[in-house]
This record gives sequence, C-alpha cells and structure tokens, in this order.
Amino acid sequence: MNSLAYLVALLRVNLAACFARPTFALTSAAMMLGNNLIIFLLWVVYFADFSNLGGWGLRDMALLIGVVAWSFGLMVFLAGGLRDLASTIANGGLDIHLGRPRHPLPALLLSRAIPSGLGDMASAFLFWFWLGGARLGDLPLLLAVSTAAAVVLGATVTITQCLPFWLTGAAALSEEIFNMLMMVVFYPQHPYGFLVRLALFTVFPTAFIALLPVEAIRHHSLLEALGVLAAAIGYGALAVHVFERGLRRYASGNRILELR
Amino acid sequence: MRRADIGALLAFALLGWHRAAADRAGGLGRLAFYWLILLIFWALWRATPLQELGRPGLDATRLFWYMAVTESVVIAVGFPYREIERDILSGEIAAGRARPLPYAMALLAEWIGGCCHRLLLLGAGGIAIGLWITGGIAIPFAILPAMLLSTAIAMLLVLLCHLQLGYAAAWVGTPAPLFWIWQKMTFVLGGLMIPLTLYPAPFARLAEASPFAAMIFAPASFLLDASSPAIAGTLGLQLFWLVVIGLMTWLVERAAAARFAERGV
Repeated sequence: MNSLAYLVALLRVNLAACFARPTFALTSAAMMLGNNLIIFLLWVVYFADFSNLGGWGLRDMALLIGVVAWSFGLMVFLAGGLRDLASTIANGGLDIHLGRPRHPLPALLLSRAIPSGLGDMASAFLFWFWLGGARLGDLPLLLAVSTAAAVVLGATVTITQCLPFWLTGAAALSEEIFNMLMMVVFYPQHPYGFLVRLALFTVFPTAFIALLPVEAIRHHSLLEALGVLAAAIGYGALAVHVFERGLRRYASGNRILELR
Repeated sequence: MRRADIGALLAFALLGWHRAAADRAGGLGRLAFYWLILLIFWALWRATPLQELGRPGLDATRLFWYMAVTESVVIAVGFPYREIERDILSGEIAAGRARPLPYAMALLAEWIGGCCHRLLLLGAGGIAIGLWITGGIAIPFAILPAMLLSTAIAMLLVLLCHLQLGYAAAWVGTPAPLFWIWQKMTFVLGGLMIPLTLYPAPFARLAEASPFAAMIFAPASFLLDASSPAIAGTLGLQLFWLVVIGLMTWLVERAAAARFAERGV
C-alpha cells in the first residue's frame, strides 16, 4: 500500500467511526457553528461602539473568524489525534505505533476525527460570504490560504505536543499552549508592535494562521497568499523534524505488550 | 457535614494547592498566557478610538486593569471539567464515587485549592505587568476587600459550571462543544473583553442580570463603579447565582449518579 492510499484508508476509518453516532456528530457540529457565531457577537458589540480597529471593520473580523474556523475545523476533523499526542507520549502509548512498519506520525495524528470540526468548517462559509462580504470568486483564495493556515496550526500544535519528549509532566503545558494559540488567533493581530509581530511570525506563528491569510484576502495579494503557503510547508517540515528528534529520546516499553 | 468531612475537604484543597505549586511548567504557561492576553488587549485598546465613546476617564489604562481582573478568573480556573470527563470515559469515576467523601465535593475542594494558588500567581503577575505597561495600579485600595470577595464567588461559580460540564460527559461523551459554547457565553455575556456597561442598553441589562456577569464582570465592575450601592448590588446578585448554580450542580450530579446506577459507568 503506498503512502497516499494508507492516509486515505486511515481517513476513511476515522470518518466511519466519527459518523457511527450521527446525531451526536451533527449536534457537535451545530454547537461549534453556534460557538463561532457567539464569538462574532463580541465584535458586533465592539463595532457598535467604535468605527474601526486600526483600520479593520466588522467585515474584516468576519473574514478572520472564518479563516480561523476553517483551519481549526479542518485540523480537528482530519487530524483529531493531534490533541492527544502529548498524553500518548507521556503515557507510553507510542509503543503500539512504533511496532508498525509505517512512520508513526500520520497514524497518531489521524487516529480520530472530531465531528465538531465540520461545524467550524461550515461556519467559515457563513463568515466569509454572509458576514464578511466576500465574493464567490474569492473562494479559491479563501480555501487555499485557510487550508494552508490549517497546516501551520496543525504543525504548531504537533510541535508543542512533542514537549513531553523533553520535559517531564509537560502534557498540561502543551494543553495550555494550545489554548493560548487558539485564544490569540481569534483576535486581530495587526495593531501589535514590532516585537510582538516578530514573535507571531516565528516562535508563535499565529500570524500565518490568522493575520496573513486575512490580509491576503483583503488585498487580493498573491504574495501574501504565497507567504502562507510557504509557512505551511516550512512549519510542516519543522513539525516532522521535531517529532523525529523527540522520538530518539523516547524510552517507554510497557505498552508493547499490548501488541502480543 | 461531619467534622471529619470538613477536615477531608481541607486536605483535598491543600492537595490542589500543592499540585498547582508543583506544576511549575503549567503555572508558568498560564502566567505567559495571561501576560500575552493582556498585551494583546493593551494593543487592541490603544488602537481603539476610545474618544468615540464620549466617556472621559474610560481610557486604555482602566480597560487594561478591567481585563487583568476578568482574565485572572478565567485563566486561574482553566479547564478542570476535563478531569471529570476523563474519569467518566475511563470508568475511574466508579472508584471516586466509592469513597466516603462525595466525589464532586472532593474534586471541587481540590479545584478550589489549585485555583487559589494560580490566582495568587496571576494576581502578582498581573500587577507586575500592569505596573510595567501602565506605570501604576488603577485599583483603588478601598475596593480591594470587596473585589477579592467578589473574585472568590466568581471563581466558585465558574468551578460549579465546570462540574456540570464534566458530568455532561455521562450523556454526550465529549462535552467539549458544550464547553466551547458556555465559554463563549461567558466571554460575551460576562463582559470578558468589553465591559458590559459599553453594550447597547437592552443587551447590557440582559447580560448584567445573567449568571455569566456574576462569573466575570462582577469583580472587575468595581473598577468602573465603586459606589456602595453598586458593590452591594453586585455581591447580592453573585450570591443569588451561587445558590441557583449550586442547586443546579447538585441536580446534575444526582442525575449523573442515577444514570451510572442504571447503565453502569
């Protein structure tokens, strides 16, 4: 079986498991859609009081929430296992994957699909076209930059979830960093000063998940879109590298018994 | 409640405190998160044309300190509902329920201990970064006792909601979507980012009367209105919601227990 067929097979199994309880899956998706609309309400209140935020208006905020909702939704729907990576490492759960002939990372990331991600992805269209005023012709650009943002998000979460390789008891810290990441991406990042922006474009790359994709859409800028795509490739490669470096330090062993 | 039970609850609270103190990486992570959020909002409020409000005195500095209070409650509490979710999904709740001290009360006591430690850390961290950024502390000393009491009630209210959210795993399996909605309701109706007094009139009244305002807005509202009637009214409303949400938590716990008894863990 080649790599692509293996990934497709993993995805197919996940989707089947995800929709084993269709009512639960659809309810979760609907709740996430509601969740995103509630976030937007904050900005409706804000822009009822103020004319702009550093040049951004309500429509720009809708575009931002749409981009983040798509990237987060796509990540958790296709690679829901990401959130469990740190605890899997800490609990010795990698043993099972290391006994297999394939690279363990895809199987770990694609170990489950979280159905609420579908609600996030669906809400993105509401934010883009209904609340954000995007045109149908913008769809290819919206999908391209938002999907690239999902890769950056997934890669960043993977890197932070690898912390238990180096730090004892870092599973909780990984969770904190994930929450931090999600908090930052939902807010506009353009008013920040140089140092904060520098951090957001490097060690804490939320600018590639929210700011740059939105600016690419606002300006219809191919250069900014290419910047997001390049970041997706760069951070994706970095995540694989960090995982492999961490794997060399991994020394569990007890869970291998489960394979017998 | 027997004296031994109170002693056990205190021991659980102490355990929570010690666990929070031992989790240095998690504590530093939270502090970094708190600072990051405050820096973000400092930048946002400075980029906001506040003069459009026509309210002299409501400047970026005051809004910074408002956020320092609201965020400290949210971040100190964290995501404890996931402990119950894990216990339910793994079946470990059965062992917890077999102990003489009620599972929910023991957990709540442990959470309170942990939250107190984190709140202290965040309080010190908030004052430090506030001093650095704004050049002073915009919290009048006279309102400090009322603010601390209000913060304690707010924290307790949030923890009770987490207990309910955790128990929701007995019905929905993964309560994360419920949690995200509840969290965003606290953000919007609790006035986490924008003080409720800046909301459009009918919406502001609705939000101020909601339990979410008692969880987030209440302790920070003293920075906007420190008059005695306002403080008394806010604390009274918080106590009212404490009774209501406490009762709701007890009912949810009983319903979950009945479900475990009927279907097993």
